[in-house]
Amino acid sequence: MARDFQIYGETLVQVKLQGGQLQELGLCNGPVRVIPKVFHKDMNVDDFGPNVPAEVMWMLGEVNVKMTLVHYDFNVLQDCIDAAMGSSLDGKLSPAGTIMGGNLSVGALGNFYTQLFLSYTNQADEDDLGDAMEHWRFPASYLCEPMPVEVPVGIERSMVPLNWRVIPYKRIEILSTTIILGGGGSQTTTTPKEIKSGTAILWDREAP
Amino acid sequence: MGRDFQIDGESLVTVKGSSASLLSATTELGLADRPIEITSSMKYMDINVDAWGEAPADVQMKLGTLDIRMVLAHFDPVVLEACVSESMAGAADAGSQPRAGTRLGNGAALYSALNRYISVGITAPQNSRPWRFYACYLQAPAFRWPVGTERSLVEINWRCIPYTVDPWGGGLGALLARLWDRGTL
Repeated sequence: MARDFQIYGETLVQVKLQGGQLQELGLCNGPVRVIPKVFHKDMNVDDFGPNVPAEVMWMLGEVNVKMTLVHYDFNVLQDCIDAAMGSSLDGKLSPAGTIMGGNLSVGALGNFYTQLFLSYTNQADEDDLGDAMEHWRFPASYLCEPMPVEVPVGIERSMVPLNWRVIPYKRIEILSTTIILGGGGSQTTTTPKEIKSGTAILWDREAP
Repeated sequence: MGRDFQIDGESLVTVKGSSASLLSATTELGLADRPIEITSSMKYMDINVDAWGEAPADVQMKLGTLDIRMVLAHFDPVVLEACVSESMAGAADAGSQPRAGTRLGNGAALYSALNRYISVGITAPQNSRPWRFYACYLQAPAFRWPVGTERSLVEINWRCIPYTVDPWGGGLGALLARLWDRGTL
């Protein structure tokens, strides 16, 4: 791909909540802002002084996605809010300490992360007609503090700012071992393996 | 077509609107006392790069609207008042108010009960190039209506927007929305 102005085009925000059904959340009044936040850790040595690292370690990252919905499905938005509140129900709270992922696969019942999709027709191609939709998927997202959502209530059309956080969620593998006992019985033990950050997905280009 | 003087001819203004209004069928609004002015207001956004200084390196087309100004001289006041009330999002009659914030389109198809946009047609009997503006409403000032002993010449101002039921358009956005065409109502 050569250098050019990058125009993503009309962008539809879609979501998949627990249960995995794709739903249209809506259209925005302006650009959707995708802001990766990356972390590094300095490795200092005395010879390099106190301020300049001799080497730097990559320490993963997360993404902040900001949007303001203007043409949207309120029921889907309410579902996203409920999911972000640990599967609360329209103001009735889930218990404090509810785990969002529950060591379940994204999209499984009990995993409260939202799969967030930005679907757009890439206008960087010269021929607009017939372009396949492109997607930007954020598998493990939730509406986050400090201001996850702001709902104006009044006579004008509500434009709702949303603030999403995306983390590189990954399940902990469980090692299951079955031992045959003397006398014909068996015993199964499960041992959680170490959770490894390698191959964790922060985003990809998968279609919904 | 070839180059020539462009003469539209005696232009009659017709209107058609919501099935729940007096404009449910194509209706004559009237004749103007002078040429009808159609003003295009297309929006553009410059794309700047530092290397191009103050001039844009390219421009993005950001859709637009039309303004249509006419001064009616020979017209049906009942039809005009229906246009006024429809432009007020289906107010009960000209003079009453809808609820503040009422939408004109309501996500409904043109000419349906919930959609209050008015299609405006202007005939062009001499050059066979009529105008059909799909989704219009009377914008401020909606009318200037002289009241006195002389015949009233009423100035009205329309705004035409590219209305569509679903702005997403199946991923095509406004590609299939129309401001006008050369058909008749």
